[in-house]
Amino acid sequence: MTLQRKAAPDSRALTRSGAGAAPRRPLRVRFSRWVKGGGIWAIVFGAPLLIIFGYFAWGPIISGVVLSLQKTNFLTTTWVGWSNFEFVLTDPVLPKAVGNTLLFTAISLLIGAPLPLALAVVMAELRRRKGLYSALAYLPVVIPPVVGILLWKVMYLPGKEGLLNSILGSVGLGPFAWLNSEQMVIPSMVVASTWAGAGTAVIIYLAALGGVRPELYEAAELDGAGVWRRIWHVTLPQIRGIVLILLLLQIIGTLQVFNEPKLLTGGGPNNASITILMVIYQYGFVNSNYGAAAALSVMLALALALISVAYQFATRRWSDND
Amino acid sequence: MKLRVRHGIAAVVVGTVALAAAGCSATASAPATPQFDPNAPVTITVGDLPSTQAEAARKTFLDSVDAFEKAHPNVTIETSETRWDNGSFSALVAGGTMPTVMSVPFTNTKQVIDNGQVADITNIAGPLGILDRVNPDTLKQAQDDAGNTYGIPTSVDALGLIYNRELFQQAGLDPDDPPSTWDEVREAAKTITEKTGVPGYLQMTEEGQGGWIYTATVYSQGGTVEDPTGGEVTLDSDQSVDALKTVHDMYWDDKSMGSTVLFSLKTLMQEYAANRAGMFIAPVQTYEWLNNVYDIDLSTIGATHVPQAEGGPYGALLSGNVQMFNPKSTPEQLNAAAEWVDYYYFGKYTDEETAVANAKAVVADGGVVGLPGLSPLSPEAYDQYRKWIADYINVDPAHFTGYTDSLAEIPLIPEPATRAQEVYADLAPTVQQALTDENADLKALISDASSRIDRIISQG
Repeated sequence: MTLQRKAAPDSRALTRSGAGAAPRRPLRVRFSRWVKGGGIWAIVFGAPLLIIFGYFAWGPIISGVVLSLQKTNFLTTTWVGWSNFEFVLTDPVLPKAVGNTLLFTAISLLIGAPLPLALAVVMAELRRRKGLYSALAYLPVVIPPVVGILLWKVMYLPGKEGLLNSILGSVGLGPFAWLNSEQMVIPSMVVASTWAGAGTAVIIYLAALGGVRPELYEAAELDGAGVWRRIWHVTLPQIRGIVLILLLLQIIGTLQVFNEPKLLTGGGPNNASITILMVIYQYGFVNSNYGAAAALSVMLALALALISVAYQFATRRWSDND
Repeated sequence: MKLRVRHGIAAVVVGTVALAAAGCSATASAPATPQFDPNAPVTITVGDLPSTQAEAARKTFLDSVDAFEKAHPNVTIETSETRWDNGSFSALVAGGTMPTVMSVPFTNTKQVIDNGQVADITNIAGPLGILDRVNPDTLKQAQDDAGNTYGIPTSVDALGLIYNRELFQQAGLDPDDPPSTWDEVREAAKTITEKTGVPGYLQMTEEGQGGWIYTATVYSQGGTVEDPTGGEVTLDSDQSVDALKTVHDMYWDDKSMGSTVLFSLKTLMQEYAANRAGMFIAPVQTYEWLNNVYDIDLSTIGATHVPQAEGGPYGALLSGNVQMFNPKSTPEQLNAAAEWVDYYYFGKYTDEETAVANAKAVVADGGVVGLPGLSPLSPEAYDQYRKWIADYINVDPAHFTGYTDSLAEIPLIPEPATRAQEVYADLAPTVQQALTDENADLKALISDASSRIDRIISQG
């Protein structure tokens, strides 16, 4: 930082007065000034952070891109150009996986996005035991994901003896095939993942709602606004920044869904729940085709980046009014 | 904020598959004529230490390590729970963390040899005399086309049909006369379901295991998945359709397979342990796993051969394990590791005292002794071994006669030669479709699967 601030006026002076016109201090002097000003220490203190961040954050990204252009077993490596991408794009399973992933994301947004917001708004209105309810809402997040998912597997057992089916059976419904049915498998997974993930969003929304100034509600109330109009005209506009960010995170997160299909169905039945990340896993960890796994990962990362940019453009007007 | 999140996610996604790339290095292989001092101090790591869940087996393993170290004072053994995992093996080798020796399933031996990921031990194990003891047919699983040896096969088995003798009795079937054809299996499964209300027959359908067992059923109908060289797909046949049609009809018409479709070996064993499965196809070793993990009455377990179609016997799928060696090991390490394999896996077959001591310890720890099956050694060595340990055998051979009698009669067919794991994973959805769609066009399913497998094996 120091380096940049000190260097900036010099370069501007150079541009204004033209090359060689004003007497410039020799490079040696400037360097010794920079050293005396603590420039070296800035580098010494900053370097470990930059190196570690570069190695662990950017290193894998770069290796991933490199890997996507190679065929390797990590002992012998050959460059294969775009052939990994060709292989991935012609995989007959890929369209199914993309479709399933998009369906999962769409249903997650339909159920998983409004639910925590509604819960948070209701909880914020409560006068007593607010802490208890938010703890209850957050509880599923504390359960290790694998354990939670395996519990859902028991709930979703098909046949009359399954937990959910026996409950529904007592009111004359079912039995449903749940995870064994191509139509029901993705919605069933969305329910499980919403149960597991909603708690975090509820807590964040609750914190955001706490920041809404009470006088706005009072003013709205004086103007005769009911509960719904207060939520619509005061609450939502006040927390829309948080809503937008959580929505984006949810889109990115659900497009990378893996735990649920891997543990509940292994991608079945008939690939009805296979997702993009499961295909990547399959390439990398079953087929040992690391190049194809990296190629699909790179494409997914690019797609996520594009979606994020598009999302920002699409919601810019709404955010700007904040 | 958003920018950082995006990069973070990209890093996770890409990094998952990329991190292992960090430790790339040149291929190392065993020297043609190793010059080494067999008595020099050496440290080796041995994989496949049984987990704490399998207490008895773990204790036997660790006791053997102590005994081996006493007999070979220059060798220090470090144990590791590392076991075969398709996805991480390449990273283990590249990162240098593969144990000096660990077991590799038959499904993958050809691939790791071709990739140069395991050491050539021809000139190490040869002089030790180990290779002479191994059944030559089995040894082929550990050799390349030129006849160089890359490992020591230590277990070999044909898949079998595991059945619940108690449910057989409850259903009025004779547990000593298990079904041997697919028609008989269908009848027995139907009876079990009608009389006891539990699924008469279940089949693994999830991921690779689904394709593995389906391949076994194709073999049992007289079909194959790939030709013997692994160069061509042979799946698209009437036999493959018949294999699919059998389970389809059992599920939809006989209703003898319950309602759950998705099963792995693990979830199937849970069903079996809870008395909710009449029969299923699996390695006979499942008996041991059921004993180690579930507290069940072992006398209820019976095993017979994989049911065969009319006109058979056609074939049973052969499976097994080869002990393979880290390509970065020194000749001293390879020598010590080969001696360990000989001691731990073969000692019980070749030395009476070891055989008896081992058997005694396993029985005392509640383990299984004398599970019938094939031997990686010659049949004579195996018979001799069973005589030595006769007093300690705690498996009732009468419950396995259907299986043991079949081993000489049914042709044992190895797994698909090219990319078996990948082919298996690809076949699983085909079986799932037959079980979730009553009106599925089975012929079309097979021909689709066939063209997908063609694509897989054309990668070489």
